[in-house]
Amino acid sequence: MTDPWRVERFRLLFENEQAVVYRFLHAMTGSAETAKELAQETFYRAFKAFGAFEERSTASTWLCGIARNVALNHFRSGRQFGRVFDVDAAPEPASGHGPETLLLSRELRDAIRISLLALDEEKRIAFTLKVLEQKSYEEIAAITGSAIAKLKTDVHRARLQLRAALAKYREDS
Amino acid sequence: MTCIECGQASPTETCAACAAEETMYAAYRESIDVPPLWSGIEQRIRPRWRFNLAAAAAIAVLMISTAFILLRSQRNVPSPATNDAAAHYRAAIAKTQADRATPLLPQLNRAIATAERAAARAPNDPIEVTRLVAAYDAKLQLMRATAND
Repeated sequence: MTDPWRVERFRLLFENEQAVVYRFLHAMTGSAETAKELAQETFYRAFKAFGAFEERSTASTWLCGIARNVALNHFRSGRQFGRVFDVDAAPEPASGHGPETLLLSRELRDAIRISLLALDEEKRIAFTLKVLEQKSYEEIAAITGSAIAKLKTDVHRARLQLRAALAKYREDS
Repeated sequence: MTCIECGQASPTETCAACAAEETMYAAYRESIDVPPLWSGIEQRIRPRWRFNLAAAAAIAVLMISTAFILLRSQRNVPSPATNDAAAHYRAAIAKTQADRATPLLPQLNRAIATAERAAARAPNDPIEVTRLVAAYDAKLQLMRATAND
């Protein structure tokens, strides 16, 4: 039987970390629907392993590690047809509420989403965690198991690739 | 000085291009709304608990019902003592013919009927069985007494 207290403790963790996990998976898949599905799978797996989580790392690092594995399994399972579909899909409505969001056009938002998908998986993971989620290289190394030097190279290359892809929008702005 | 992000020459720690990019990526990050996720997760982590609770409740109801039915059927089966006593007295009474009607006889018949109903409701209750035997015995004694007169 599932311990109700364990569920409650897990729910508190979920409330604190759901945004980080979802945004990471959104950047990885480029799809709100797939990100939702994978985020739920991530938290389900995390719940099953919750007893073994000893807080040697932060909860965010632990969950991002699980989310990374879930995303990579998703890409390798042959279900990445959604990736092609997502790129061609109608743009998602801009839904944020901050003043910066208002300045980010729907076109630029979709251009960023598609440009992220054009990065290879390792660069996308490193870039998303470093630039979008503002994680330290040490945390990203704990999540991915990669060396910090490699992560720095990946982030730098991803940044250059995105800069080239988004040059048009930068000139416009 | 070089930019800590891209390594290009820059008068500041982060060059203007990288600073603008950081702002753009922060805006992109903020534009991603998180949909409701918990209900989908809860459905996956709670079903087993709900199923077990339902199973436990069903088993408890089944056990209580079985115990109730067993107790009820046990109570409804007349004990051999009640049957034997009633049969013994009925046979004895049938053999004994009173010579004349006595006004006490209907009263004793009513007492026997009442005792039989009580003994049927609680066939294993020794008090009810004793009452039934006493009622039959009183009638038999009366009939023998009137037959000898």
